[in-house]
Amino acid sequence: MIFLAAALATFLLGALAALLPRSYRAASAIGSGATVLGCLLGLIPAAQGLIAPQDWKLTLAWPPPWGLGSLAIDGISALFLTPALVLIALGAVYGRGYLAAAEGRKKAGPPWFFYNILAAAITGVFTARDPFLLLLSWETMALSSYFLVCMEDGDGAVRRAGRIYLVASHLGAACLLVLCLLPGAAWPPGEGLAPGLAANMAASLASGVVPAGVLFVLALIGFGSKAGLAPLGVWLPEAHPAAPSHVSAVLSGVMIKTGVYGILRILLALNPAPWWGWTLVLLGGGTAVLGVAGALAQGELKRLLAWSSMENAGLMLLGLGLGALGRASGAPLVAALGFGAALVHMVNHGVFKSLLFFCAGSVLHGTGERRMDQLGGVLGRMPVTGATFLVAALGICGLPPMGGFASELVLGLCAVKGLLLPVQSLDIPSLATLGALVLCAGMAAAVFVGAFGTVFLGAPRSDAASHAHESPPAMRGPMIALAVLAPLLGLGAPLLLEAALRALEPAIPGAQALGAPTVAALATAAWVFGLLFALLAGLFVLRRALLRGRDVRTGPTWDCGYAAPTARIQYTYSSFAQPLADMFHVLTGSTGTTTRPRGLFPARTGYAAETQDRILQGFLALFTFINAKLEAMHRLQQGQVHVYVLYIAATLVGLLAWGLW
Amino acid sequence: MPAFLTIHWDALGRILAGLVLCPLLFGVINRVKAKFAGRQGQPLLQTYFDLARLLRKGAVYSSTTSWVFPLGPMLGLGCTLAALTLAPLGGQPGLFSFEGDLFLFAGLMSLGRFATAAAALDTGSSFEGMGASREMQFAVPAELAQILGFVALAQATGAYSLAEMLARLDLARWQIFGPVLALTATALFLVLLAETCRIPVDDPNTHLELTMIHEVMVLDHSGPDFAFILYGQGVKIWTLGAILTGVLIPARGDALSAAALGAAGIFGLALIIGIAESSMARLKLLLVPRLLVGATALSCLALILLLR
Repeated sequence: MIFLAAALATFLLGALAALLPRSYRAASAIGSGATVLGCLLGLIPAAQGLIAPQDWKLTLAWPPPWGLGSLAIDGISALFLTPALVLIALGAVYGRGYLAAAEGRKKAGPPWFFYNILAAAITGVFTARDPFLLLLSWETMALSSYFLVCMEDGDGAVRRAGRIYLVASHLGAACLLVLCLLPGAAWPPGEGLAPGLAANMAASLASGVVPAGVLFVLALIGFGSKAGLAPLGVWLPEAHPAAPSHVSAVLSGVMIKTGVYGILRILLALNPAPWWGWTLVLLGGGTAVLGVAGALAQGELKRLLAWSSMENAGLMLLGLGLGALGRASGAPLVAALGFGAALVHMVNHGVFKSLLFFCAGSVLHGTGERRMDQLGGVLGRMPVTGATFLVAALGICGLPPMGGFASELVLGLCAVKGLLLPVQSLDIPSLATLGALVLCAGMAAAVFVGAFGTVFLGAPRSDAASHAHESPPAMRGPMIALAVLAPLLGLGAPLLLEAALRALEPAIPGAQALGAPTVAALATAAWVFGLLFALLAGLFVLRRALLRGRDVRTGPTWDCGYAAPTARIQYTYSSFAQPLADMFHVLTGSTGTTTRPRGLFPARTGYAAETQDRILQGFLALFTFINAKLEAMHRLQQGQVHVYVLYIAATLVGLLAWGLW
Repeated sequence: MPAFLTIHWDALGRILAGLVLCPLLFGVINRVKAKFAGRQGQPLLQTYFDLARLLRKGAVYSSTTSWVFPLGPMLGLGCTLAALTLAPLGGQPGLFSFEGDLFLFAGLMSLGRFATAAAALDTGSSFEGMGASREMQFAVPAELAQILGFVALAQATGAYSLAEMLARLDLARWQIFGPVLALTATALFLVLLAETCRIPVDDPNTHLELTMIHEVMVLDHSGPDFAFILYGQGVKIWTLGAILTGVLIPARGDALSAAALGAAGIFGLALIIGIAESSMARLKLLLVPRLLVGATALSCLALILLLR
């Protein structure tokens, strides 16, 4: 645990040290260096906790009020902390390259100050063992990420996104505040009780003060809003694209998972009721489908990625929901696989989504263009970015042989097993999970092949795209590292699932034994991946041998004999996604206006699509409504002290009268 | 050495049979269509000649394309071949079989589609973009229908792997679950038509780029690349046909005769495809998603009938 303390100290000292130097380069070197060093230090205990469960605890010498002030790494913490630290470290390396362009325009100190604080806060959230410390880390995380989102504060849209994020994250934090300050609160709930009693936490809570269901709802709102759970996750598609790309990567790849972590802790510590699972499956499925449908209707790459993060958060919640139902209906097999699927997907999504945001940032860096339909043919000029994007896209769509397939397989198998078990209460949720999972996989494939094709393939649609340049090595390095990790996560999926099941073992006895056939299935699947690689290599060699010495020519693309093709006649992302987006227009809220050709000599015709985030608009309308209705209350707020004293006196007299009655 | 690494010579034999026989399926389909149209028809072995000719040729590449373009046919064929190793034939297991292999099967099909669509977008042609867009759109309901259909089979047989499911299907199960299995088979047949681009979803013989789906995606491929695509199409019909036949023909004998029966069933399926193609026109493009959503509904219905 000394390493964890050292890591936290490194983050905090690095944050302060980054503010000191006057030189831009020195500040960014110190800031990013401190993050990397801190992450490496923190990875030592995290990785140990991953390999074998450890029983460490770090208790502060001066505990904060209402708390024990202790940090600990158990299996679950280790599983969340390890990918988080890896991604934060890579984000720091990438960010140093990414922010180099701002030299002379901005100061380097503040971004690195907040980045280090964010790293410390996320570490704190994943390891905190008392409610006060959790709340402190949570709030620090929310605030530091707010300042990081608003780094480009000259842009009005960024400020607006930041404001939405701040409001949303505090509405969520309000629920956590209640959750953490309830009498007898503990984090995770049941912590500090004897092991046998921990499982009966629900009963003891019911006899005490609060029913467990209230705790669950508070946690669902508080943590769910951070995880991007619809409809609370409205801030996510706004804030993630607004942030600088290395921050987007950490927000999407790591911070969403703090929400998943919180809900998982609650589900493992308390005895879930069936309706918890139903709620999670419904909301998770809804979030997943809504997220991917939203991604279809986007025009900017980073916004598309943010919507896809919502989709993946939904898939993780589906796993949690099935797990909760499994626990509630006495099917530990479904519980182990459901939670296991959520954990495996958490790791996979972190890697792929961070990589995708790195690539999107690299495209933005190399072209200065956010809109996909203005890009095209970038692959030739940015080979590393393009190739790594392709790898990440395959992963995020859940396609073999990448890691994303493993999480899809585990979640799908969990649903199939839930369906086949003779437990009736599992039938409908399993079916719903299966439907949402497969639907999302198909739609995600359409989204990402469209995005990859539009941005990287074909001919450049604008000057920005034709003058693209590859990013500096500091940005390419982390991208390559994550792209190498992607197929390794596919081949190593059995190990990952095993680690997840090991972490779940204390809460779900026998999880490892129950999940063993699935681990074996993943191992066999890895052999099929190997076969696929071998087939690919064989076909490559065959093709090369066949074409050697033959007449291989280049010519124009077949264009039906049209004499003057331009890059503008290529299919764009909006035209590519339009048929599917139309199928789901109820969800995406996109409205298209078509000008049809008329008459013998048709004039200019066109199609313009517009997408509005209906949920966000709904929230804004709600807040405006509340504001308008509460306008009358302003009359009470006079701003004059003697009036307030009168209020107090009147209240006291009122209470006195009530008491004497 | 893990148990699944022992070499299954009989499974390899069945895969080899599929590899050799699959181009003949096109011959059968085309011969049936020719008979219906009162024509002589091309030789039964025409696809073999076509493949040999394409493999002997050079290639022309569009100057717009990158390395993604040749990757498409290679990955497409690689994926269908890997899927073939998972597919049972005549109730006999493929080379690999594990719980949840149905997801890997669908995933491999999806990966092949992803690669083909990416290669199509690489040409920068609006026709190919259109084809890729349609293919990815139709794949969403088709994949849903396929996986839900497989899950219905899993529920009817209580098995988690394709081989196990099809091995457990017998006449007794057909007697109990007849309607369910019929619904599933219909859904899987519609998926097969969509995946292998046959009428009424897509017309492999159409000559107008605007109306094509799969054909338009591969317009720019030539020589060995196109041979890979053509052969991959054959393997795909064989693979999906093998599973569908496994559902439809539950009779079992010894391994060899069961496999022979399965193979004969696939050719029977080719016959049915030929008859279907001769007797109906392709659907209006906008109606295709409805057909596939209908297939999904059939799979769903089968699953709901199984819920007790």
